[in-house]
Amino acid sequence: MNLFSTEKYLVRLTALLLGTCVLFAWTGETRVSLAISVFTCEVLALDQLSVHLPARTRKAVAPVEWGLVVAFVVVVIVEIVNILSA
Amino acid sequence: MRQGHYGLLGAGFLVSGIAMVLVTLIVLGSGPGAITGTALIVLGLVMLSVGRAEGRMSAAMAYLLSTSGYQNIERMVEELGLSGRAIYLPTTLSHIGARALIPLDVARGTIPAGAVDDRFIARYGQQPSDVGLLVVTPGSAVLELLSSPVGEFPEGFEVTLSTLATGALEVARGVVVHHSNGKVSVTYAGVREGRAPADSPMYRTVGSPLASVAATLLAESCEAPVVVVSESRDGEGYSVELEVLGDAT
Repeated sequence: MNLFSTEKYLVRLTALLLGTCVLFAWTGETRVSLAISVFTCEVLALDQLSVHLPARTRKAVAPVEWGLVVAFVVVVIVEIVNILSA
Repeated sequence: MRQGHYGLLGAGFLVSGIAMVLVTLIVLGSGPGAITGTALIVLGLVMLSVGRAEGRMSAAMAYLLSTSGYQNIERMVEELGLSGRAIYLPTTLSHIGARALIPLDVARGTIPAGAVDDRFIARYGQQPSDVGLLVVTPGSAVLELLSSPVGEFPEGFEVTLSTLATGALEVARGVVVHHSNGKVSVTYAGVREGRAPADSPMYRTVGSPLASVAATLLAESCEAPVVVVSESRDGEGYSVELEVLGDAT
């Protein structure tokens, strides 16, 4: 399959995220907060590994990464509040 | 898949993901469904962002502009009866940027030793016949895409060319470079677009856009003039033979 860097990145990201969904379903994991944390790590890691991604694409994806990091921080804060209030 | 569809695809994923999260959480109370919906939302956001990164100019308009520019130079080359190979000059030998010099008198074979004035008709030697056309090529423009200068030959050249070809330009899946005795062979692997080298005056003098990019980067890397010796296409592979003038390799 002859794919260029942006296409490869999107195919890998799709396979990674949907593969994680299958893994979660297989293991019986249903926590959305955990899924958000894992998705955040996967997107950040894949972006770092995609060294040939065009600069304009990398720049455009950066806000999504920040959004995921913010969501991850919110998840962590909610978990801490839950633990403290238990 | 064309890049123009990324935005549409992203919007589809985003709407589907939101709908799936709402339905599975509120109506069905299904955890795995909500997780899949969240994954679709993330994918949708990424694809929307990638779609936003597309150039504002359509591919068809870019093709029209580049073709007309190339054909104008081709007409000039043809009208002037120029048959010699263009000499790709590094920025150290031209005042403004990387340029290609098409000598009017091929037989003399003079190599520019010093900086050439940035004029369309430029003098590059001591003799009256040492005059040529100094033209801007696709390779000249590609230097603007680089975030750092081209590294030293051979590693720096190969890394820069590979990064450009597979990343910013997205014209090939990989690049292999071999060199010996001033001759450098560049093979682009997995070239999806483009045709076999055309038998036109422009391709005979300046070379194809792929050859132009390789020659310009090699000239920058070696800080020496470079000529395109030959180029050929074999399936998805595209080979370019370059020669560094002045034995800088």
